[in-house]
Amino acid sequence: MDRQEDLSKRIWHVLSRVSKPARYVGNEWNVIRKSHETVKIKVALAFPEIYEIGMSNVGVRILYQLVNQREDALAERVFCPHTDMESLMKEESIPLFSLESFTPVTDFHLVGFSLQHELNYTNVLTMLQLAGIPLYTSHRSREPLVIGGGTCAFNPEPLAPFFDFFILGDGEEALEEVLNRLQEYSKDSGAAREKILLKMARIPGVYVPCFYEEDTAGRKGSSLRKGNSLMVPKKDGVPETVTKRTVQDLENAVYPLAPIVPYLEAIHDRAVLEIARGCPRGCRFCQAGITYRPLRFRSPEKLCRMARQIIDHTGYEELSLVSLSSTDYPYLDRLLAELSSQFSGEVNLSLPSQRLDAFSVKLAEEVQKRHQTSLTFAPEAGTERLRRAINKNITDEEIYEAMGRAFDGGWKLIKLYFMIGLPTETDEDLEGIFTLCRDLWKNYQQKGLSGKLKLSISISPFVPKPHTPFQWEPQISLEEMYRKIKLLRQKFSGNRSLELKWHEPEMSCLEAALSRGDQNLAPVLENAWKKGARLDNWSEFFSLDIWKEAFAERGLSLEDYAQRRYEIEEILPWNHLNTGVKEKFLRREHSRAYRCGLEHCENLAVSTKHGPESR
Amino acid sequence: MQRVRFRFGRGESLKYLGHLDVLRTLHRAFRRAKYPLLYRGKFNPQPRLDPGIPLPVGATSENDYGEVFLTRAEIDTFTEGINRQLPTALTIKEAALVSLQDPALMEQINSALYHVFWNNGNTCNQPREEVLRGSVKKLLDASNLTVYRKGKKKKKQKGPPPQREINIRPYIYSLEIKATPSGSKIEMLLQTGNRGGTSPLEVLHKIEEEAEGSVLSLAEGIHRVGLFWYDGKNIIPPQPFAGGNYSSL
Repeated sequence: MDRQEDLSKRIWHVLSRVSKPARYVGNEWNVIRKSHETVKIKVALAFPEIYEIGMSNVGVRILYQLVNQREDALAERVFCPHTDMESLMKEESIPLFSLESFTPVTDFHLVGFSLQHELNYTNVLTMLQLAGIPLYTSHRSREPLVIGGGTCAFNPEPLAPFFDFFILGDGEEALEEVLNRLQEYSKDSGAAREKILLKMARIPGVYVPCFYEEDTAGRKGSSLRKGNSLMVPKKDGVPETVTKRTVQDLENAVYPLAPIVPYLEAIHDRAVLEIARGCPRGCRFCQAGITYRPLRFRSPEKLCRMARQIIDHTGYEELSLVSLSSTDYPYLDRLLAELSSQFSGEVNLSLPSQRLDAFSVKLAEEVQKRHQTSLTFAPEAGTERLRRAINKNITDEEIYEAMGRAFDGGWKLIKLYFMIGLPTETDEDLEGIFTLCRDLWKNYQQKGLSGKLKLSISISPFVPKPHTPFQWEPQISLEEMYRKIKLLRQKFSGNRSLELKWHEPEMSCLEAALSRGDQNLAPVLENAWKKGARLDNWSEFFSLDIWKEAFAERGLSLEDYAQRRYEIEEILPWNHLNTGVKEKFLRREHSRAYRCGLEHCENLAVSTKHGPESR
Repeated sequence: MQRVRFRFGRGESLKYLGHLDVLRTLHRAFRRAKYPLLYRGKFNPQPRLDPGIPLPVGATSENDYGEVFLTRAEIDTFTEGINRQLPTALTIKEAALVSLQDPALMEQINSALYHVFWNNGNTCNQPREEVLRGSVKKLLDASNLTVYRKGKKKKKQKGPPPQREINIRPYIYSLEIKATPSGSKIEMLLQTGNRGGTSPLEVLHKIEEEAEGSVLSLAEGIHRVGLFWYDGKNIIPPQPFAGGNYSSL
């Protein structure tokens, strides 16, 4: 029996002892299995979450398609094993393996992690360890190149020592270029590693952390605090700042028309059509709004053709038209009309991320009548004042109008998302959340409609994100979060039509600390992981105490990272990474937030169709 | 409206799917094949598609039965068309129209035959055949074999769901150990379906309690040979299908 056959057999046997073994079997409809003998480059696309979450990610699906359609390359998927599988794999010495062929990850040339959330970071370490790849790049020689991309790559410093390089921005073109360079690389020689990394560093959008060092000289003249220093190149040919990549021609960009259909129910168990990339709004807390610029669309004609193929190849019963703000897609009316007539009841259409306005409700009426039982909106803040401050410019009047229309349309379950702890927030704004919801409920009662209304109100603590106008802002303390939640709970108690839920505040604290962290957090991550931090995004596993300890043992404080107001003048850990949006713009937006938050400053609100000037 | 009953099996590579995974897979295959499915329910319409009696996760099968309601069915090409849209490990072997008035599938199934395999090959702590024989005999001699199943939680009830005590002995029709070329197997004829029943896993747990050492985790495979009506003597597969190969009984 050869090595591969033996491994497959052992994996298969172990699966009889884990929960949901279907997570690890692969072999789904539309899976792509290419021969390992005939390609030069093998890529493992790794998602540091469990299968059901990872399979819902569109980016990974795009890259899977992109790599596999090259003649010289193949891509296979790897997800983070759940804790029971992790311990069984260790017990049975089963290395991390790809789903397509049960091949050990170390047999690939490239392991690409999709970094979508800070609370997935320890899963990266779990996966590297299971794969048998040394955690730190400095300890690697013949192992695959470990690379990262996705939202968190815009401040990857806490992960930097674990990664050979990161790709900033849209991955499509950059990954192609990376693969082209890889052809010349033979991974059996350790010396070649640095050479190939140097080649990679010359690709626009590629950040190779090991070629940068802290510039102590640069500390002069800026009000630098401990832990923050400018990262500067220490080799020739390595760019001072890395600028993100952007796919200009979204219309013709690669998109999977025969995506894998999981056997297990993925959290988004439906066909997904990316109609646009980027967002025309300028919410000041939103990182995606900045990093996905500029706004690009696919044409309705193209989208209709794509939709037909995707549905024919998958059999999905729902098609979701995704983008950061789908109701801002300029040809939405036409697209919906054409899709509805094309599928005539065969497929349900859905629009996530709706804006809270009458137009959106009208669309919902047209599209989701038959299917959708709830509507979801995100006012984010409870008063017009605070909404102006965060540039989520929607008036109470508009909300009442939109909701009134939704009530008339027969919707009885409405989900509303709010944040707490936003810059300039006061208790008045929290009361505003309650007043708004109560008035919506009153409006509903006055309509004398049959049936009971249920407003489901979700509260999550504000997390300052790099590259946003609020990147300098502190997060409120855990105690303050609980105080605010308590205040809201008291307000909301007594009306059973208004259901208040909140995101676990402890998790938001860690998210804030990691999201604005620097390279000093890498050993903290490792420390927390060694203490048992696993699947941090799952409340049943998450423990803030582990993390606090892990910080403290390195002489650092989680609270300091999360709750410190970063000075406007200080050098930020992500200073050498460029989203294409000028820092000047962020500063201006930041000060505007404070001015717009003043009661009499309505004319400053910046809500334009095309978004604020940024370049 | 037409009602199609089909016989299908599940191979090794898909044995780790759950019942709902199989239902979803069949549903999407029917959609890809563009068979005109009938749906029920207004807000969350579900296809009128029933893959029959659930197979335990980790088991393979060869004579499972399911039903689907279509507005119109081309029965001659039904099997061929759907199999083009199904993974090879989940294949429909035959299909036939049944009258809408015919009794439900569940009325024609009350038992299942399972084979559980052990390989005598590589591990030294295999349950030796005589150990298995001993514990199987004890099980058959017992008049009461109690297992605990998760009960249903009542609305708003807190804490773990209540446990139900069930005597599975009446559901075990026969247990027999046989030698295979590579080891041994137990043949289990068990009651199943909506009048109560037991699963091969419960029986294996009971055997494990009697045997020294782990039995369950060493089993090479569980295979459901078939589902049928058992009247104490004869085996009658659901209409209109003729039976599979049950000669071993």
